[in-house]
Amino acid sequence: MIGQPLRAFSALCVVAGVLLGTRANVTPARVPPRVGDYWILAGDFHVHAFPGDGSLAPWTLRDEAAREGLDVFAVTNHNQAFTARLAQRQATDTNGPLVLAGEEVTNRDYHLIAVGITQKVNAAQPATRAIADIHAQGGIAIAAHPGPVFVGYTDDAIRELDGTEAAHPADDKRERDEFVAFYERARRLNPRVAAIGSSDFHAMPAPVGTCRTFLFVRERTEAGVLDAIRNGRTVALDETGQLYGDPELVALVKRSIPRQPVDEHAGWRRLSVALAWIGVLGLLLFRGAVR
Amino acid sequence: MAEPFPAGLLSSDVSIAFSPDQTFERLVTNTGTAHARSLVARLFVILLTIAIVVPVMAVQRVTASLVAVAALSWSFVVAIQIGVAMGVIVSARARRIDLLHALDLWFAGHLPYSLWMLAVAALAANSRVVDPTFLFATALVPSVWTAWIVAAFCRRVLGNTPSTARRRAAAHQAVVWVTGLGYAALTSGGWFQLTGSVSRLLQ
Repeated sequence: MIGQPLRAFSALCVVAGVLLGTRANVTPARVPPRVGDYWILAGDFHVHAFPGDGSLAPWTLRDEAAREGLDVFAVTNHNQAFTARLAQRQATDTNGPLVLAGEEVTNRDYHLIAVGITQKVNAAQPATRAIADIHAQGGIAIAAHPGPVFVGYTDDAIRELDGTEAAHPADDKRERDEFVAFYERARRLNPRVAAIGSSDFHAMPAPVGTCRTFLFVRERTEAGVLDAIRNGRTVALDETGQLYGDPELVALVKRSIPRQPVDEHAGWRRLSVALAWIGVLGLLLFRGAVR
Repeated sequence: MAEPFPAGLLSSDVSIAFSPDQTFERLVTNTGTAHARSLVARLFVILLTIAIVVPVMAVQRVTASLVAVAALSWSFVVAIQIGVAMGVIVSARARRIDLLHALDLWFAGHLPYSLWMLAVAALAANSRVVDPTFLFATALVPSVWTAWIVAAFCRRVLGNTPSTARRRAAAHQAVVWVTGLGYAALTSGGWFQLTGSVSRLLQ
């Protein structure tokens, strides 16, 4: 049967692709820059994980966050904090980015990121009350991809926010401008509100850290990160490279942040993906001994 | 009955995908004893497809740990499919073959969804951004294709009349979509999230 050798070759392609991909998988070493008393950390506070509507398990996400040059990220699944707490528990005793427990509090009238929480926040309530619940747990509240459709963000709610996603992957410039307009409105109501950049990663590109937040922290701990956001010591970076936040902090970030990590093995990585893909296709199409 | 493709080259999954009635009829009469091995091989390839597709879509790379964790995480999808298949097969009184053989033939009809997953992975591996709503819309193609295969399965393997086979295929599709959309609604914050996505797609 001609199918059998082709099927065996396909299996070999899968194995070769996975081995090659594993070999080409290098995480660059990272030391966050320092400015005076502060470390400048890179964070992503809006990431979805499995189990939930994210496709990657938390420990896999942590590897990806490290590869993308992040020092901290928050797992924020919709209306549940189980996955985030699991992620945080798993990440306490190993090296790698800090993992914070969070939730995307998802209501028809608003989406709200809660970070640094210990239990689920009820989404069936007005934004002001959800924000109060988050603060009562010692967490911080960030408006998620805030566009005009989210009518739950009244002036009262905005005054209570700790941060707002000024940078979030956008379909077009109009949407990007809406996030920035909301940030400017929030700044007028609450001058200390933090500019946040988040990827809102689920299962497909754009990857973790595409949009990110630079934080000026006194200590590289969860408390240090939350303190930086509460006090507005952040700069948001969008996918076009634009920075948002206090102009002095923006200038410091421009001076201090090294360039984004480069995928030095991009060619091998693409080859490994192609081999695995072709191999699986072959396994599906060609006849084997028992098929 | 002759095979519609070059003998020994392509898997029976391919034959089933393009001429399901003819192929199921031929395979039902295969009285070999390797059905368990064949079933395990099919399930393994389906799980492997998912385990490769998930990391390729998410991070455009494959490593041993990414593939292993994805296989472990998403194996519940295969488990649900086995449960649904058992429901369809066991409830058919006029079934022409034993359960194991029928399960093997059921999963031989998985090719449309497997190819769709690979196509989506290829798109994601070569894009900076992929719209999930667009992907949901394209899932209609394997859905309709699979319904056609399931109807043939019901006629040839389960011994159903054409009208019963159509009803069973429709019921199977309903279960698949309700389960899939239910999972999406549960994990994304509620049904209003999905209706919002649909209305954006229609705009």
